[in-house]
Amino acid sequence: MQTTRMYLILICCLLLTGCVKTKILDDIELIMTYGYDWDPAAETYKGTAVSPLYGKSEQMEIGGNFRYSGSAKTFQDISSFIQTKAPYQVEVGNLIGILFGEELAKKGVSDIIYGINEDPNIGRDLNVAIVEGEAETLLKQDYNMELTLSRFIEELINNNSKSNIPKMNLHDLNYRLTGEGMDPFLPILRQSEDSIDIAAIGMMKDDKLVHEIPYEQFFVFKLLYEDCEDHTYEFDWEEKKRTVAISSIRSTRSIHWKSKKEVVIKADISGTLTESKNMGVKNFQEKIDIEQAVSKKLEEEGTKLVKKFQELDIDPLMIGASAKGKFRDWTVKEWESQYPEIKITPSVDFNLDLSNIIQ
Amino acid sequence: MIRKKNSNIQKKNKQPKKDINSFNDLLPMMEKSDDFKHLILGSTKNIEIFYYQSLINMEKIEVSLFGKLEDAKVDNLDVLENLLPFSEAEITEDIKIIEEKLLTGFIAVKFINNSQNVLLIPAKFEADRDVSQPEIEFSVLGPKLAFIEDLNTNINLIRKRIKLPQLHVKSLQVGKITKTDISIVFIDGIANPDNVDIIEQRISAVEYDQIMDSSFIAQMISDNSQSPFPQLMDTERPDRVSSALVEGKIAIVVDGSPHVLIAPTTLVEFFASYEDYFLSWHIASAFRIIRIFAVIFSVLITPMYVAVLTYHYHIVPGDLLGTLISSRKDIPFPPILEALILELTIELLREAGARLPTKIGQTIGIVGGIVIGTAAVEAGLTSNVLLILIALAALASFTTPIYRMGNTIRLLRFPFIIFAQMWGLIGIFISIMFLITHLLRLTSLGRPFLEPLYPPRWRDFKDAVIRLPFSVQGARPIITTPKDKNRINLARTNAKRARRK
Amino acid sequence: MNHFKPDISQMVSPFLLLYIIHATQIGEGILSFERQIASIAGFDAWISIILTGVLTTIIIVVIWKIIGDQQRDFMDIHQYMFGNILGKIFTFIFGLYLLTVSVIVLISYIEIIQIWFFPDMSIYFFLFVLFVLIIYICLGGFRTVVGFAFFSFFVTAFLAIFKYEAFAAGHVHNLLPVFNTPFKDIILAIEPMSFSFLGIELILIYAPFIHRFQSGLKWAISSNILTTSVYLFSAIALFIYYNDQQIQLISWPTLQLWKVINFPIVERFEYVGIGLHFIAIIATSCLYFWASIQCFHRLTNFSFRKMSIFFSLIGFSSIFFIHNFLMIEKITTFISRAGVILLFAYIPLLYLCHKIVSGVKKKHANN
Repeated sequence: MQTTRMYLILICCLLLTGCVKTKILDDIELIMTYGYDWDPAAETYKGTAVSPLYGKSEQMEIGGNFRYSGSAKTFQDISSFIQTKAPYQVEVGNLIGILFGEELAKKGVSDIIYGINEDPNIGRDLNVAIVEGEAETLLKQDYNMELTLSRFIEELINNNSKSNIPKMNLHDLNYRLTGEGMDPFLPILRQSEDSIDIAAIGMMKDDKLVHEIPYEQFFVFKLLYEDCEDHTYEFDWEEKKRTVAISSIRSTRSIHWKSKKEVVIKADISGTLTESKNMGVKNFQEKIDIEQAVSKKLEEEGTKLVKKFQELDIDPLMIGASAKGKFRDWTVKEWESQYPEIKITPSVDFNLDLSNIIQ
Repeated sequence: MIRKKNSNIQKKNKQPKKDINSFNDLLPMMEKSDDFKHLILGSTKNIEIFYYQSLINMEKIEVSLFGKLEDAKVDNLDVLENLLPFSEAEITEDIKIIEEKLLTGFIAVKFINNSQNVLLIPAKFEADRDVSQPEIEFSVLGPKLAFIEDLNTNINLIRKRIKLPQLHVKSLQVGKITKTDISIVFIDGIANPDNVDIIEQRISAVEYDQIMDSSFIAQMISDNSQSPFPQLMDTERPDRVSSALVEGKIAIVVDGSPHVLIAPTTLVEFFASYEDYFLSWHIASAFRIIRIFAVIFSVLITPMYVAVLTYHYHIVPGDLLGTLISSRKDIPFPPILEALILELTIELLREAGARLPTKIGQTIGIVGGIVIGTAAVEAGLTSNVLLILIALAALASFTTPIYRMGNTIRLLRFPFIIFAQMWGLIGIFISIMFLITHLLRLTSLGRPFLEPLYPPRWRDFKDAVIRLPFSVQGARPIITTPKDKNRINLARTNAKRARRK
Repeated sequence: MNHFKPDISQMVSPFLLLYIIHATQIGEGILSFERQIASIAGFDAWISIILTGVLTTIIIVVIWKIIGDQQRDFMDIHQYMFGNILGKIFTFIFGLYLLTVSVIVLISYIEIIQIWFFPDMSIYFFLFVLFVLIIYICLGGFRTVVGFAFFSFFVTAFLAIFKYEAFAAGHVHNLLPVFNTPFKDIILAIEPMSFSFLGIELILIYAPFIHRFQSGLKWAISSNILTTSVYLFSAIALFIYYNDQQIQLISWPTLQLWKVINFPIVERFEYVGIGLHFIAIIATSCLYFWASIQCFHRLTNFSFRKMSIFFSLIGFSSIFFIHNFLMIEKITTFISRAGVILLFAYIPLLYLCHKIVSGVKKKHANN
């Protein structure tokens, strides 16, 4: 009897010490998007956190958002500072988007990124983007949208990653920040009247924004960067003064090293001709003509893009990493000094495989 | 575990009636009961008749016994025995036999002289219900017969299906006061004699004053009686029992119980309905997989809900987040309380439904399910997501064909919920590990309970999680360690089938 | 000579060696070994995995040779070779080693759970429950321990599938060019790699529990090949997924990889993955714990039950001494080194001595 009671007391004690802090889903402040800006005057980071507001049923209060902001010198401090403003416990485990203000992007984002990397609560499949202007103003604006702001940004970037811009999540960004012979790039968001859109792709040198490429160059960049599927390209045929659209484009990209100083980026693409009013493809000659014209145009644009990259000494196409896998005696130093002089030739092979449904 | 020493059996045989030596000593004790009758008949009033009115069939007796004895002029029991048209009559002076037979519906006839010989005439009153449809293990297809409370009828139902002289029945009597008849049924030459011996030894070692149902026996002779899992299958379907006998298993029929026990058995068999054999094998396999999925779902879904909502908001996908949060927005309780309240409500409904007559039970189900459920959500006491999950989990737990296993499954989730509250997902995995270990340690008649999963016996998988066609069911399950390993000569039947094509 | 013979109801079929050895080998190591070997041999370290696999296979054959036809266990061999007292001391040290491994495996996994799940969790009660679980498994006898390992095998196999994400999002040119690291480094990486292959030394303890032990060699070797291929697959997946600077920054690369995987109902797979892998950890810890209790049980002949409760209390109280991650790391390194020495030095040496001693004894017998 006595021993049983002893055991009971022991087990009770252990049970009491066994409790851990609960994070009940509806009693926490779920931060889903973080925006960071650099405050040059105070030399601190300014963080803006957005958490969704759900009504009694999801349809009732659509797209409600709470915003909190705070300034501090490190990532963790910003979270703690935000806690002073939020009624519930602040949790960052469901973070799905990180935005950087333009100024911060130009200064360098690695401090924040490393801070985020150290928190085991945070996932790796989250979207990172740069904001034209300040992240805070973009996040604090009220929009009229169906989704909450965080989910809107997530869906916006995810869907565009399929068609317009290459995919770049936090892991990919880390990969390019740490790796040799590569530089990261991030989509740039712009605040329009009452919505948000993707304005450009920001090319970075290490962790600093150095260059932006506009929408017109998205396709060429993606073509040279990776395999793509289901793209659309609007082609201005200057010689014949016509504009045609090529849709359902599939491409495969490969890098061929001629020598240590000469490389060809080969892209084999095939697509369907649409919007070809007054320009049907009737015979082989016409088909070859248009194929060659498109290839030539894309190659020209590609060369322009690559030249620019070499000029800025950035390598978003990961040519250096490819060279590392190709040549045994590859070293970072040698590569970095050589990179601007290497001859990089984009070679595009376009194949028109289907015509339109309308003759 | 009831494995008593053999000395217990000998002890039991010593009756505590030392002063009763003759029939006359027995009479005063029996006459205290008002349904004990004592008549004197015969032309010379020399024939005494004793019986328990409540035990015998009066119609039969009045016509064939009283009528003949009214004016009979006999003074010898042997003559009387030949005179009366009863086949099982016997003459004895053994007081123990007389007592026992009187109490099982025999009539004692005695002459008024000093002879101790008594003629015992059977006149048992059969008050059993008719053989009817199975109610617990109902099947849409196939035979619709279920065992009843009578031992002989039950064995008859089995014998009807297995017309074989090798079908042996071993009778035992257990229960200090109830003296319940128990029969061990097996097919000699297929069943492993070791198993028969184990069962016989365990049953005869049972020491208890009353055995009212086969479940008493099941709890007393199972390998680990502390386990919530049944280790002997109980079924009310004669076809299931017969099929198990042919597989080399052993059936235990208890008088007064409509459920027959089958041993040895394994975990997966509890999730196999006998109807599976009436369906084509693809469909049967699909149903079995659905049932096993239902069990896993039923045990894990509420603990998962508690764990995820209490600790792991990370793993909720973005699309689901809004649904979950808005359904829980106004709930004043933490998820654990919410879940426990709803689980208890469902258990209450089930218990109330089970105790009430069928029609009222249905009403209670509707009232509870619809009215209380809706009201609780409207009042903001529970979230509707959890309501759906718990209702589904309850539904899933009823898909288990063996009712006893269904109960275990339903109660199993409560420790899971507590562990989920303590350590979230890790807690659930710890309780899963405890469960697996418990199942690994269980045995049924010394055979591993988890077979064929562990120890892995690929050959027994033919009729476990899935049911393969009869053409590959050539061998009996290894679990029963049958003496005759094969059902059919597969080589011969396959050759025959090839020729037919 | 009278050898130890276990109860027949506790013996398992040789085919189960496939699962036992695999379960003992795969523990916490699979979550982090890629970083360790890559820090020495770069992304050519996958060659070291194959080399280690070959070496351990040789050790397995040697173990089979030591045990011989009579199915003796470590105790019998030690006493046969070194006499009663010295043999017992050696077995005692071996038992201590096994106990330490079983505890350190648990504690270092609890570290992961603390980081990922509950930073404020009280380790005492948690460890208490785990030891209750381990005793519950071990008291079920060797069959239950093996049964648990058997189920854990499917868990690790299931988890290995989830490395597919790496192939979908990775860069194959990370692995190229092959053989770019000096061969010396590849050889050096064998040492950290063999930590992850530890577990075959347990065969020496449970050998008498295997039916027809000699026929189990093929299963043991296939188990080792299986482990090698799991490690190889895992390493190649992660080498494709990370670049060689990045992998050095990450404590548990596999867990980081799982962070990216999501399903319609599970957003972050790592939480499920850590929980599932916990089953494999318990299986490993259990096998070691059972083996150490078996060692002490054979040494002292106290009841297995009392011994396991006593040693689990010792294991439990060790938490009062090991309280920070540096200490865990230090003990892990020490014990793994001890394991490697045991595997690659002691066991071959034992085999040679055994050959000589039995040769001498045979000669004596002939004379």
